[in-house]
Amino acid sequence: MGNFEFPWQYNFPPFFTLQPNADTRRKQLDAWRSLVLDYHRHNKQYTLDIAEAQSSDLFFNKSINRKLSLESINTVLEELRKTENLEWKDKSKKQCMIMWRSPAEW
Amino acid sequence: PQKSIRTGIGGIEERLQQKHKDTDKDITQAFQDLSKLMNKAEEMVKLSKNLTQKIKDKRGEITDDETVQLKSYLLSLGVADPVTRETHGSGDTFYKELARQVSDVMTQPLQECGGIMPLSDVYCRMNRARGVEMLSPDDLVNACRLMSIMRLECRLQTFESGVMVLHLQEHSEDESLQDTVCRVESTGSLSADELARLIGLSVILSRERLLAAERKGELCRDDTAEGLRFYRNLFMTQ
Repeated sequence: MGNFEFPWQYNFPPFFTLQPNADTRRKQLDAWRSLVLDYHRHNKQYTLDIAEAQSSDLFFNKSINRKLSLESINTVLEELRKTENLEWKDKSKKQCMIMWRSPAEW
Repeated sequence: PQKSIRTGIGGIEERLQQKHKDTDKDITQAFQDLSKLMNKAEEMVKLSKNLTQKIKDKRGEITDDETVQLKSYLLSLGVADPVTRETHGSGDTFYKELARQVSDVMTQPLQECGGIMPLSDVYCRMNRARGVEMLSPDDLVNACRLMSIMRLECRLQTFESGVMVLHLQEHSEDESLQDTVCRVESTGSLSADELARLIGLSVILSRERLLAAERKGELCRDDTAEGLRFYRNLFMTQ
């Protein structure tokens, strides 16, 4: 399993701040959505734990010392849920399943 | 009555007591006068309210000159009654004159500082120059509101954040926006105070410029514990 190649946005500090401008935010969330999916596909992971997510290098770029806030992570995950790539395992929304493809595609 | 000069502690106490009595008297008198004055003012307020009511009833029958005169009476009383007054003419002569004066005085300083200034700075400059007969914040804001109608050199502008600024008529927002974007591009990223230092503008206004550019989608933000920085909006271009 080779090293996962992060997209250019990952090294762009504003990527880790949720943008207030609606158009920009759209682009940003799209990028996050595909990053989360690619990352999980590459590492063959299916589950994501909110508590752990913040310290994983998916949401925490140590080289530029930027971290996506918990609130923003939830926004990204909500985006994934809307496109049916994510399902919550419990009601308290602590763990979720990441589906590389939506159930419809399977 | 005879004036006994007593010495010792008893004497000092007596003198102190006398002093207290005197100040007490002064204070009560002052308050009495004040309440009398307020009673008089109250009558005036009642009268002016009656008058505004009458104007309302006879809309159109009274000439503009008469409303203007009433307004100047109200102003000198300190009775602002804009809800009913605004339906009868947009402002008043005092504000109009003031607007003209502010515009005249501020044109030069505005040119020196890049064509734009926060209203609080304008307030400082106007009142510092005056010394007496100062302006109240309300006066200044009301006067500045009239500037665009009067086609004066200076204009009032309110940013989305609520910050009010005075700017020159020829000052162009787009131009400063382009300039801001260029500066961010050449340095990679900028915070409001860095931009302020670069272009010699106040931090508040620099911040507004960056925010305006962000709204246009030219910049994007990086909000961290170290502060709020702005970058070129690569999301939209790459």
